[in-house]
Amino acid sequence: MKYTKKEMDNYNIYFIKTKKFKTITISFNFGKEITKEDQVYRALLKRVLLHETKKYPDLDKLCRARMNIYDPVVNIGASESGLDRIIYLDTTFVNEKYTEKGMNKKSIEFALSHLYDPYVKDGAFDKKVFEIAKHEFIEGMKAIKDNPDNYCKERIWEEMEIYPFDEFNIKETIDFTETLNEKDLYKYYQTLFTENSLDIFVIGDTNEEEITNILNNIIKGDFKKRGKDRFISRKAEKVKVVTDESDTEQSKLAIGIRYEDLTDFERKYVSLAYNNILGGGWNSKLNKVVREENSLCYYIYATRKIPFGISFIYSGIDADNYNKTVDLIKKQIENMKTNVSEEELRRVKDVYNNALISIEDSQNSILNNVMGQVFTDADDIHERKINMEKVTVDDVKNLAKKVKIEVIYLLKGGSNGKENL
Amino acid sequence: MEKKTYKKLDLDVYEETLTCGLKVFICPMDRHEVFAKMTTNYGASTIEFKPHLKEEFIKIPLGTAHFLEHKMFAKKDNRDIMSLFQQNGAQSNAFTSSHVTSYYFASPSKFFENLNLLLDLVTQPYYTKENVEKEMGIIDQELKAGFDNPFEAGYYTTLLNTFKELPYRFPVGGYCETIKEINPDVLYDCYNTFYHPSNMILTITGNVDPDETIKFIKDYYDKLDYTNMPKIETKKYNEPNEVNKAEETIYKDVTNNILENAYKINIKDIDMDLCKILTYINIYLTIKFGGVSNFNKKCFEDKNILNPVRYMLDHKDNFLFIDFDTEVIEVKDIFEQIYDNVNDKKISKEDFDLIHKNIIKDIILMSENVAKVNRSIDYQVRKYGHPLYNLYDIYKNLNYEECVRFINSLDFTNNTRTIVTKKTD
Repeated sequence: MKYTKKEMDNYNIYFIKTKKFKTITISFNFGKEITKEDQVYRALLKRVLLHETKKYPDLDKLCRARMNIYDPVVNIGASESGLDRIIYLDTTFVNEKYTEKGMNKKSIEFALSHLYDPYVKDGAFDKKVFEIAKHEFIEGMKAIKDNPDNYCKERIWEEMEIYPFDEFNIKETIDFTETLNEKDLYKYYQTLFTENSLDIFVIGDTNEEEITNILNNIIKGDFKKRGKDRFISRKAEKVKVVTDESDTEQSKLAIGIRYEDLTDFERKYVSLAYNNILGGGWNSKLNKVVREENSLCYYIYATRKIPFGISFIYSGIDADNYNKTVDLIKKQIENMKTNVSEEELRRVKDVYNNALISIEDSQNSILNNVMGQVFTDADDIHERKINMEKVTVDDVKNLAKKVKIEVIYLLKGGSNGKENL
Repeated sequence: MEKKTYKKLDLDVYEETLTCGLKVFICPMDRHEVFAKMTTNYGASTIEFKPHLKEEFIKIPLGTAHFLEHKMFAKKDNRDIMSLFQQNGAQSNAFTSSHVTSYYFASPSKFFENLNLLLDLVTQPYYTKENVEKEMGIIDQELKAGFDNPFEAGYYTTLLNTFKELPYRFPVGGYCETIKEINPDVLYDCYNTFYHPSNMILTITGNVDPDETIKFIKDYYDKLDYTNMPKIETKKYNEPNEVNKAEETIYKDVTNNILENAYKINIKDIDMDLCKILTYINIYLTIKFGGVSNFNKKCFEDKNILNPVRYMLDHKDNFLFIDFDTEVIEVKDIFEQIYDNVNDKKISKEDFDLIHKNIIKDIILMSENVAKVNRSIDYQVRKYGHPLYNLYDIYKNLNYEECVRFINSLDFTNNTRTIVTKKTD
C-alpha cells in the first residue's frame, strides 16, 4: 500500500489514502528505548488519561461528549518491538461524509484532548483517578493466576529472561507500583513529549492539508528522531524446567524456544515458515501429532515473537500426560531438522499469500503493514510475496538447527473433573 | 434468485431457496475476501426430539451438538477438511451455540474449491466407534479449560439456576461425563434430522459473483438425494416464569469474588416485534449501565469493584435472559445496587437520543465488514425468519415514548445470584 510522508518540525505524518472505508483511523506513536519500569507507568497512564480530561473531569461526562460526536474509538496502549517500545493513542471515527460536517476535526480534537489536555492540578494528575488506576492495576496483578492461560504466558515470559536487564516479576511489579504517586506519573507523562519520537499515521478518505492543519495546531513537543527498531538476539541458555502448582483441572504447558544467529532473511521469512510448519494452524506437525494422533489436547500452537528472537509453544493437557506430551513436542522440534516437505512449505506460503491479499480489506492491517515498513526493516506487500516464495525446504531445515529449547514450563493442575457434575 | 437491498446501507442481497430447502443468501461486497457460512438451526439446547424416520422421541447426551460439530470434519475417504481449507489458504472453523451450529471459511482466493469443501463438510457424515472415541480426549480437554475459568464456571451455574426445564440451562459442550455416552448412532440420529438442507442457511458475503455462485450450489445439490425432508419435532418445555434457584455460592481458587446476576423475563404477551424488543432493552441497559450512566461512574470510583459491571442479553423461547457480571474484592451490596439500578426505569430523552444516534452509526459501520455483514444476515434469518432489509428504518423509527412504555411494562424482579469465591479448607 502506498503512503506519503510529511515531515513536520520534529515529527512525521504518514498518509495512506483509500476510499474503501467509511472510517478514518489515526495512530499516534511515541517511541523510545524500553526500561523495566515502563510496563507499570504505561498501564497507569492508560487508565488515567482515558478516564478524564480537563474539559470532562467525570467519566460519564467524558463518555457523553464522545457519544455526541458519534462515539470515536479512542485507545491508549503500548507495544514492544525488541529493545524499543511504543506508547500509542489510536482513534477510529466515522468519516464526516457519513455523519455531519465538522466531525473529523471534532473527533481528532477529542482524541488528542486525552494527551494534550488531561486533568492536571499542581503538577500532578488527579489523585482520586490515579489511586483508582493504581488499585485496579495492583489487584489485577494479584489476580493474574485466576486466569490460567494468562498466568502461564506471564510466567514463561518471565522465565525466558527476554531483556538484557532484569525485568520485574509479578511481586516486584506490585511493589514498585505501590511506591508511585500521581506526581511520579505526571513526570513520566511529560517525558512523552521530551524523550520520545512521534510518528502519526492517518488512513482513510482524507484531505491531507486539512488533517495536517488540525494536527499541527495541537501537537507540541520536543520530539526526538526515531531510528529503526533494534531486535534482540542472543544465544540460548541451558534448558530450564519450571513447574508451578494450580488448583485447576487442566494443566497449562508452555515451551519457550530461541532462534540463534538468524540472518535478516531468516528472521523475516524462514522463521515464519518454520514456526508455522511446526505449530501454526491445523496442518502443523504439533497439531497432527499431539492433538489428532494422540488426543492429548484440544489446542496446541506455536507463536513467533521475532523482535525478541523467540517462539512459544502453548497447550492445555492433563498433568499425567506431561512427559508424553513434552517428548512428542521435542521429537517434532528435532524432526524439523530433517523432515520438512515441499507440501508443508507450500501450504504455509499459500496461507501467507492470502494473508497478504487480505491486508487491503482492513484499515488496521494496512496501518500495521505500513508501520512495519517505517519502524522496522519490513518489506512492502509485493516484496514480501516475492521473498517468501524464495524460502526453500533446506532453508527451513537449516534454521531448525539454530533452534534451541530454553524453558519448559508447566502450570500443574490436578483433579479429574468430578466436581463438574 | 431475487435481489433485495438493505436500504441506505449500500448492500444488495441475492436470495433463493433451493428445491432441497436450503436457503441461500449472497451479498457481493467490494473486498478481496469472501466469507461463507453454513448454519444448521440445531444447537446444544436441542436434546429431546423425534429422529428422522423414527417413531419415538429420544433424549441425547448433553454436549452432542458440539461433539457432532467436531466429528463433521471426519470423512470416509480420510480427507482432512481443515487441512484442505488450509491448503487453499483459507481460514476455517466451526462453532456450536445453544441455538445453532455453524461452519465457515474466509479467503481471498480459490472460492469455489473452498465452497465445495464447505458443502462436503456438512453433507458427508462419517462416524465410527473409533473416530468417536478418539475425539473424547480432545473434547475432554476443551471442557476442562472452560470449567477452570472462574467466569465461565459462574456463568454455567447462573444458567442452571435461571432455567428449570429448558436445556438452554446446560453448558454447550456438556460435561466430561455426559460426552462419554455419545456414540455413532446418536450422532447419525442428530445428523439425519437436523443437517437436512431444509434446516440450514448458507450465507456468502464479499468478493463473489451471485450468478456463478448460485449455479455452483444448485449443481452441487442436484447430484444429491434430498427429496425426503424430515419433519422436525422437538420437545416443548413448560418453563416456569420464576428462576430455578435464587442464589448459589460456588468455590474456586480465585483471588477475588466473581458475581453473576441474571434476570429472567417472559415476553410472550408483549405485542411488539422481537427486533424492537431486543433493541429497546439494549438501549435501556446501555443508558443504565454503560459509559454514560451514573452507575458506571460509581463503579469506577468504588475501589471494591475491580471490573465494571458488564451485561449480556440473550433470548430463548419466550424468555429474555440478561446476565450481569463483575469482579469485586468483597461482595457487599453489589447485587442490590444492580437490582435497584435495573428497576429504576427512569431514562431521559437526552440519553435515549444519544444512544439512538450511535446505534444508527453502528449499523453503517457493520455494513463495511464482510464477516459482520455475514453474521447479521445469518442472525436475522434465524431470529426473524428473513433478513431485515429495512433495518435502517427500524432503527431510525425507534422512539423514546415507545421505549419508556415498553420498559415500564417489564418486570425486572425475577433474578438469580451466583458468587464464585475462594475455597476455604
